[in-house]
Amino acid sequence: MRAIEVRGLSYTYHDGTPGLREVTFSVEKGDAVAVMGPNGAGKTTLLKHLNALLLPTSGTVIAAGIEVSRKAAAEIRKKVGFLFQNPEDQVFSPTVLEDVMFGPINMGYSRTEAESLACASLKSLGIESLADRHPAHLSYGQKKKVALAGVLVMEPEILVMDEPLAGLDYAGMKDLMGIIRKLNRENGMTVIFSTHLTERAAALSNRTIILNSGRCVAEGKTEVLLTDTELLRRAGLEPTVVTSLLLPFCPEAPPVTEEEGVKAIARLLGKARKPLQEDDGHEG
Amino acid sequence: MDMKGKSAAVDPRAKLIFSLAVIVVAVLLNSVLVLAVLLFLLVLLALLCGVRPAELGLRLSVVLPFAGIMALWQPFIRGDTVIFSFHGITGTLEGSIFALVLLLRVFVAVAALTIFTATTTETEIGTALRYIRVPGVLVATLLMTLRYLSVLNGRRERIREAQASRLFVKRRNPAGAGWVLRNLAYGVALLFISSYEEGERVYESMVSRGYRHDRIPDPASDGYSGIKNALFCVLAVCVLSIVPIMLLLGFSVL
Repeated sequence: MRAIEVRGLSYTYHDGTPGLREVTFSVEKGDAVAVMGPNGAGKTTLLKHLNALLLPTSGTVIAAGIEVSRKAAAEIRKKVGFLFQNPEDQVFSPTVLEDVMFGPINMGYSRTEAESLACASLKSLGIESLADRHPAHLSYGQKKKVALAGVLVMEPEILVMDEPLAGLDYAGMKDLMGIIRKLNRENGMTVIFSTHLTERAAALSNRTIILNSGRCVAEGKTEVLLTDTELLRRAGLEPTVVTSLLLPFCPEAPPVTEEEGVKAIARLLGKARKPLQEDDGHEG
Repeated sequence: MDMKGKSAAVDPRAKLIFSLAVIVVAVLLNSVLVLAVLLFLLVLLALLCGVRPAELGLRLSVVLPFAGIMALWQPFIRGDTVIFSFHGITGTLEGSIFALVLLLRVFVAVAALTIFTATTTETEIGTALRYIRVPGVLVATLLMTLRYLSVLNGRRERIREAQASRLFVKRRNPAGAGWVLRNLAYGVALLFISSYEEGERVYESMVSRGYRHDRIPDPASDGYSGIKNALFCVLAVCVLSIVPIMLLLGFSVL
């Protein structure tokens, strides 16, 4: 079943700058989709359409079964959560708890219900201890998790994230990647996120959309697209380090992720060892 | 006549002096007709200078609440010739005309300043202000304010989007007006705190690239287009000469 369907989407900014041109793709329920492209490719512009923050200049966007329009914005925002790139913009209440309660209260929940939902959301991300803290006193990684809690508390069907891992340190990134994986693989949530790093796309997504200059230049399985080095080069992206290193040795099925790289190296070592063993046998 | 872009631009000093001259003339005028003609010519000049009609309309409409309130009560406080009555309060002809004059003066001033500001870069505005001997600190403060306004506006837009994505609506919010007001206040508070921090970063980045508030480029070395300067001066003189022309034609201008 389709979670998102985008057909011929074009968007032009007020000053006449084209943001998107005839973008078409679809996302199945439960997919984890990476929207990739260099800076200025139109990633954020595309993602904002999924939350009705921008409305198409032409074409249609259907998210969670609802066509994006000004009228349907509230319905769509209940079903599609949006995590902004900069948590500083998203977290604005005087306490973390109040900020996470913001969405449920707007949905019509009472304060008591909203508080209980917010506590549960904070707990699910392991940040319940931050509930009474002022957001200004949190680290960037903590703010990012608070922003995510504020989105997840609304129980969206689809989670859209704009560069979710940007600006995070190694620990914060691993932590957030674990949360995103869990939401997608264990909870079955459809996840769409933007990134320009192939490593992140490889680690988190099963499908990838590549944008360049506002156009969708490729869409398909992540492991297929990320091994097409020519396509990546044309789109201003670079293959993962694993792919770059091992492509000459495994041109038929180049590895993308670290796990695949380890397996490929093991296979290559096995092959190398076999002729050595055979040579040893002849000598003996 | 697109005046943006330094090489093809009109000297900002010419635009500033013209704007100030128009304002002085408008303040001295008391004739509705002359002011209306002056406004019409200024609108034409603005469009000719490449000011978008929407931008001009927006700038004129922004002053309407302020000038409108001032003008609104003029018919009730001055003059003797009663022309209408409203719940026992009488409005006069002289007051109504003065209200119209007041509105037209404001519109003329705003239109003249729009020609200056909408076609001049921030640095050029600074250059022009320094030329007419506005103190350097004041010019620097004004330019910083202009820069910070765009920072503030960008931030405001991002906060608004983040609130909208979590279903925040000002009208008919299920949590009530109090909740809406409180969250709008939080947004404004965040806006000022974060803009202050962002402003500091902007300032540091300017200083790191050699910015000094007391060093403003010399307009003489900027090489503005001679033809455009001449054309603008001719048009400016034409616009301003409408006042003596109408005086010669027998219209009462004062």
